[in-house]
This record gives sequence, structure tokens and C-alpha cells, in this order.
Amino acid sequence: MHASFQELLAFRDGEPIDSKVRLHVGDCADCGAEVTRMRELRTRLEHLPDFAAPPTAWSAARASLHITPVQPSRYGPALWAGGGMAACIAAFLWMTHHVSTSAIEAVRPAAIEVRAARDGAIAPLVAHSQRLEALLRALPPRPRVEQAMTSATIADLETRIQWLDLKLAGVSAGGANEDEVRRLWDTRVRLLNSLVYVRYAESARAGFRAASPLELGVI
Amino acid sequence: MPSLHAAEIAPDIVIRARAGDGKARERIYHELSGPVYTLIRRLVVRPAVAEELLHDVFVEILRSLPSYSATGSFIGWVRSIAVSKALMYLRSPWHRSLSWLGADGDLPATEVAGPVAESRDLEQALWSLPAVSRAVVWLHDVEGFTHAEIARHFGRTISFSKSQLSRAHIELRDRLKPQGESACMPVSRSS
Repeated sequence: MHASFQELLAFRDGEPIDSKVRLHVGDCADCGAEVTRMRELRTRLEHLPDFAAPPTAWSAARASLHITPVQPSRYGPALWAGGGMAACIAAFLWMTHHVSTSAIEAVRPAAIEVRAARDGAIAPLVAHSQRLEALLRALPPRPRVEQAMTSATIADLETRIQWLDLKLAGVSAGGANEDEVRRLWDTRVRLLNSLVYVRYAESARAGFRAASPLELGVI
Repeated sequence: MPSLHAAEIAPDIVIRARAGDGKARERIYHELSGPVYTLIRRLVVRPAVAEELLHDVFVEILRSLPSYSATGSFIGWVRSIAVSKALMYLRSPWHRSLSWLGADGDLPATEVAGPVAESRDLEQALWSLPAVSRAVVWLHDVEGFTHAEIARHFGRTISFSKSQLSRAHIELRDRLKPQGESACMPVSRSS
């Protein structure tokens, strides 16, 4: 019987193995050839070409460390594309289900001022986040059965928000500059906005009748 | 050779960087960003995520420099931070949801690194591995991590590392074997 892959890898790496296995590999042409192939594969892996670090990475890192003025948002395409896609899906779902106003009226937030996201202050963004979270909490529980795409979109938005929260916790502990913190909060508000849309559409599909996010001023 | 452990930073550069010397910090970045980025890209397929992680790694390195004890290898310290960040991402629900959607497998052929034609088959075989197997084979075979170190980073056992390495090698062998050749070797325990 030949040696197992794990044993051959251990032999290749000079790790302790059973003496019988060692003797077998020494005598067996097949196992010997396999060890040679494994060594060659390791050499090929070691010589794979390098990736070049993105040219803007250093300036972005410096910005985060207050060494130079803050650079433009680095979250760019990934976060905005996800948020945009979620908003489009939500709008589509909402339009196809003609939701009317009623039950959620009780939790209607004050008109949410997008201006807050533009004027540069952090406090309004935090307040905006809190209002959106209150709205999310007021929505009914998520349905047990739902479309896979909706579920995936919600999961994606939630994990992006969690990811941002981790970053916010990190910058708070590390004392990042105000521009960096504001940028993170601004991104969080936009993601929460998209999440409200999708969750609302999901609730509407499940039969929940409520005011639309548009009517609630969550734009 | 792409391995980070082959990189070198002069001790005086590290000392100056710890003291807050901006030029020394920039030097560290320029010396290590390529190997760190390569390491991250081998573990995390998506370039946008890898760039984000590269940023996070260097922000943490530069922020933590004053508390770096300087008793161990500086490169080892950097590598440990990079691997931790990349594995944290691989464990995140975000990555799992992308994997569930099959998004990691949709990268165009042009994303496969390396203009070198002879390495293209290996690049593609490597990228087609499951994320954990790919990480283990890269960390072990290229970065020189021991099974114990890999197990510690993953929070798993040494057996886990060994079995993942073995699985990765089996899959790489199958993907790289010439057309028409059957893989029949080895597999069972020796008697």
C-alpha cells in the first residue's frame, strides 16, 4: 500500500513520520515520484509573480494616520455599488407591490434631513443613523420564507454595516481624524437607508401594509 | 519570490519608525507593501477587498509601531498582522455571503495574476481552491508557516492544518494534471 498524501507531505517537509512509511517512500517509485511532484509544485508556488500594491494605498494609509490631508473615499465602488444595487432592488419591489399607508405611521420618524449628511458635522449623521435604526426596529419580524436575492441583499447590507461598525470602533479607539470618522458615518447612513428600503419592501411582500420609506421621508 | 519572509527591513529603520520618523515609516511601507499585498491577494481573491485589507494592515502596523516590542522578527510581526486581518475577513459573514452567491468564482481571467503564461494554469488552479485550503497551502508552502502556526491563526488543531494542506494538494494535482492522465496515486495508508 502506498503512503497517504499527508504522509507524503510530511516526508517532503522533513517532519517526523512512521519509519515504515519512510522506508516505503524511499523504495517506492510511485511515492517517490509523488514527493518530487509535490516539491516541484511548492517551487512553482514560490515563484508565482507578485502583485503590485495599488499606487494610492500609501496616501490613503497616511490620511488615516493624520499624516496628510484626508484623501477621497476609499470605500468607493464596493460599498456604493452594493448600496445602489440594494436601493434599485428595493424600489423595484416596492413599485411592484403597491403598498399603502397605515400601520407604520406610529413610528414615522421626523423628516430625515439629507442635508445633515452633507454639512460635514458628525452629530447629525449619528442622529440620522439612530432614526433609521429605530425605523428598522419598528418593522415586523422578517418572514420565514423569502426570495433568495432579497435575503442575500439584506445579509450583504447588514454585514457591510457591521464591517463599518468595526471600523468605527477602531477609529474611535485609535483617535482617527474627524474627516475619516465623518466619512464612515456618512457611509453608514447611506447603507442603513438602503437597508430600510429593502426591509420595508420585504415586509410589504409579506403582507405588511405601511407607509413607504418615501412617504416616511427616508430618502 | 513573493514570500513576505524573504523581505528585509534594516533594524535602524524600524527604530526610527517607532520614534515617529515619517520617512522611515514610508520606507517600511514601500519595502513591504508589495509582499504584504501579494500575501493578502493569495488569501483573499477579490482585489477591492485585498486593497481594503492592505490599508487596514498598514494602518495597524503604523499605529502599533510604538508598542512593537522589537524582541522578535519585525517581518514576522507584520506578517502575523496581515494574516490575521485576511483570515478575519475570510471568517466574516460578508465573505461567506459572497461565497454563497458564487461571487468569488466570477473573477475574469484577466484578474489572474501574472503575465507569465506558464504560471497561468497554476494561478487558476490555486484560485479555484476553497478559501481555507488556498490559505493553508499558501501559508505553509510559500510563507513557511508551520502547521502549529496555521492552527493557531485559524483557531483549529494541527490535524486541521494537515488535512487542509493535503486536500489542497490533491485538488491542485487533479486540476494541473495533463488532459487524459488519470490521478491514481496515493491514498491509502501504508501497511
